[in-house]
Amino acid sequence: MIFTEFKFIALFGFFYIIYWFIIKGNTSRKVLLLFASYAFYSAWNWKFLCLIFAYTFINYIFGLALRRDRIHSKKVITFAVIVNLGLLGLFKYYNFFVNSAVDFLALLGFSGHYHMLTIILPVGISFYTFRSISYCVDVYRGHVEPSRNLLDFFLYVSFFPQLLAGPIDRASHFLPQLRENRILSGTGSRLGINLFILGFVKKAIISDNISSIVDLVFLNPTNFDVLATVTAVLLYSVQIYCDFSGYSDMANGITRMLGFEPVNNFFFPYFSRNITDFWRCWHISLSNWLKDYLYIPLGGNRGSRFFIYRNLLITFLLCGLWHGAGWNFILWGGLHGAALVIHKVWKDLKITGNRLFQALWNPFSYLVTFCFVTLGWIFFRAESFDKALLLISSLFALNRETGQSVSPYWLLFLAFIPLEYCIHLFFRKENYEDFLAPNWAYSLMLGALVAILLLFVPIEEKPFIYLQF
Amino acid sequence: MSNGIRKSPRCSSLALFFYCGLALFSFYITSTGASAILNNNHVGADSLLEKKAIYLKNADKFDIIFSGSSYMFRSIKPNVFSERMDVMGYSYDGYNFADAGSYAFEMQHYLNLLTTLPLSRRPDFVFINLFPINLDFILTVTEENRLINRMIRYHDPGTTFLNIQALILTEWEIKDKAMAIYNHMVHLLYNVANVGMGRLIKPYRMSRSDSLWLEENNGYYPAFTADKTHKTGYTADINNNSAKIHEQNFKKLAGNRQPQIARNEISFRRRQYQKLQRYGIRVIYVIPPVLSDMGEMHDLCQTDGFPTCFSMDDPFKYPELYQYENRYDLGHLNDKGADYYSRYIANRFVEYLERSK
Repeated sequence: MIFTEFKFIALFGFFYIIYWFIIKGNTSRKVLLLFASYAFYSAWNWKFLCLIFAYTFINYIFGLALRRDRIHSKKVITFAVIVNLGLLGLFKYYNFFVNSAVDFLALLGFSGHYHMLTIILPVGISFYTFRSISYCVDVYRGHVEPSRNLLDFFLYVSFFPQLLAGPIDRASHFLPQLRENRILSGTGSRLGINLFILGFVKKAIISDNISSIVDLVFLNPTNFDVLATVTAVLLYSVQIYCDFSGYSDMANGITRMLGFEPVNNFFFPYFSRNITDFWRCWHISLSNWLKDYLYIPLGGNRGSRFFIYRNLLITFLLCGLWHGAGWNFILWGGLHGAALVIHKVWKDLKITGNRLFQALWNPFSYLVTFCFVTLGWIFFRAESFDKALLLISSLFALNRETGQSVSPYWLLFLAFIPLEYCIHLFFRKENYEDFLAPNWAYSLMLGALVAILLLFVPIEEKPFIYLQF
Repeated sequence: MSNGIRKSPRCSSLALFFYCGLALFSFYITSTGASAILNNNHVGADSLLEKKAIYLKNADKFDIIFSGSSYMFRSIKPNVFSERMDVMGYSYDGYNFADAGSYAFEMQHYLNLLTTLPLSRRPDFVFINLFPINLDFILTVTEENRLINRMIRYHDPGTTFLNIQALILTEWEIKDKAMAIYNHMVHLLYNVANVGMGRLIKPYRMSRSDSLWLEENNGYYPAFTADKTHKTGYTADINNNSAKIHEQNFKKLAGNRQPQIARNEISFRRRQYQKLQRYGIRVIYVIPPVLSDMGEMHDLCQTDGFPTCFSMDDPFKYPELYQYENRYDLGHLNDKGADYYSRYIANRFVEYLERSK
């Protein structure tokens, strides 16, 4: 069940009424939320309910142990991180590592039997593992009090809007909200609905419509001419942005409708002047997580330049690996790591140039960043490393004139990126409070808007790209 | 809220329902308005059955009406049927009043139209193809209609209302009824959502070939001209295997069949044939030559008082209907198979007429 499905929207409507109008009291609402979260997760695969339950309970115990036993807290946190990453590794990376080891040994002339696991990846495991690790580490560091309330902690790990693909909320942000009584606010609900609709537009109208052409070209790039390949690559950068930021918007919209404060996960990443800016605006909750729990523990910006560059590279290689168990993802992470290192070197050189240089460089820097990120997505999207190389070679095969072409009108979808930014600027400039229409007008507009939007939804629903991670 | 936005007063449930109602009203008005200005192949437009019904209301008398789902629509050529009847010394005109993906409930609605025709133009016989009326079947057809965009034609508000009305009248358990009604509502929404998409689905455009379907071919349209090779992965082996398995099952079931008919199945059909017979229209049910077990339908035909059934799913009696080159897929015959099928039906009908003398 995904957020764009009618089934989800209908069930959420019922849930919303029960949550706000039938159930009274904070604890009862939390129990209902937990029940809904587990029901939502079981709609994907009920067999993994035990896994998430066990995961949560173990981390709850780790949290208490970290606070109780200060002397051995280092051992406890090490053990907690190993257990969490071990489970993630088992489900997500075991087969990849075994396959890679076997291929490597075969290169050296060794061969042998090996055992592959026939398990499917539990949806959302990467996200709730990171949420659990951040909780344990924050307790260890003393940034957050361990939760004694089992219900609160279970809800933190399995809160359904954020369960499958984030944002990766921190315990220090979410747990205190659970202790407060929530009040239904019309404005809050309307903001939530607006966010949800924005996400729906991005996912169901932009991303799903684009995917038909992108899938076609990425499947067999050699069948298409160069322009078609360029179009598909450009469109994929729009697709993945709309898909994932659309998911985040919908998740945040639901979070807001339920009376919680959401976590911003995107801030117009394609309007970044450099790759460092890009990672400040793309999947913000993951970037912050990697910074706080990986980059800084590795040494961060301390030490010599070599160590800083090394830390960046390690962080982004692991970031790539987190996204998927495949060499193409590792390469994608490595590319971004390398780009961050290059940007750091560039910054250290402190090349300022004269005014003319700056005037030329500024717009150029946006373009360079966008092109780099877009090319990087090829490795992210391709089914394998070989397929990625094939697509790149067909992208630059300028002498190839044969092959199917695609309509250049597809490129109009690129306009969504600046359009969204303009809408944002407009709303930021206007006094938002005065802009709010009366509820009756808002309801009429909402109904009409939904009817119009649904005209553009393709028949086939596509799952969110980030659900596979 | 801590985002700097003004807090509104607390919402009451009454206010919420009022605003939801307003939003739904606005949704309905907008979607209806949008459908009115888009291509005619959209929600609210006449479905093929509706067009056929309009044609029948104004046409001369047809002796036989063939009604049902795609098993009838794709397989009966009224002209071939009439020619065969002529050869055997009978003069009967037929009209194919069926449509692909049509539900039993929808079909019943259109059959009721026949009872409103003046006596002079009322048909003597109605042939209805049998298929299970259970939840699984309805959900499968609903899903199929959605996937190939047939919902453009089948899930307009009128048909949805009709199906829901009929579902309420069935003797199903409440949860089954609720499930099926929910599904219809979902598809109605999808239908409204996809009014613009209808233009892309060429085979289902009505205007291009209306006259061909409705008049020249007496309601039959030769859409399935290919044989099974049109489907990727289908080979003669697979076809022969499935035909063989069907033959084995047929033999086994013929010898040892346990009755397994749902009560609602019997009561629905009883209401159907009793009503038509009251108006002097004789009903003949047909079990279509599909490659799946139609045991339940055979059992239905054995129930007391049930009208005549033509079992056409016997691969030994009608081998041509199971040959690779005469089939379109596991469920349907192709255009060539429809020739055989129409003649076989004519033969069976003549046998029936001879016996009735």
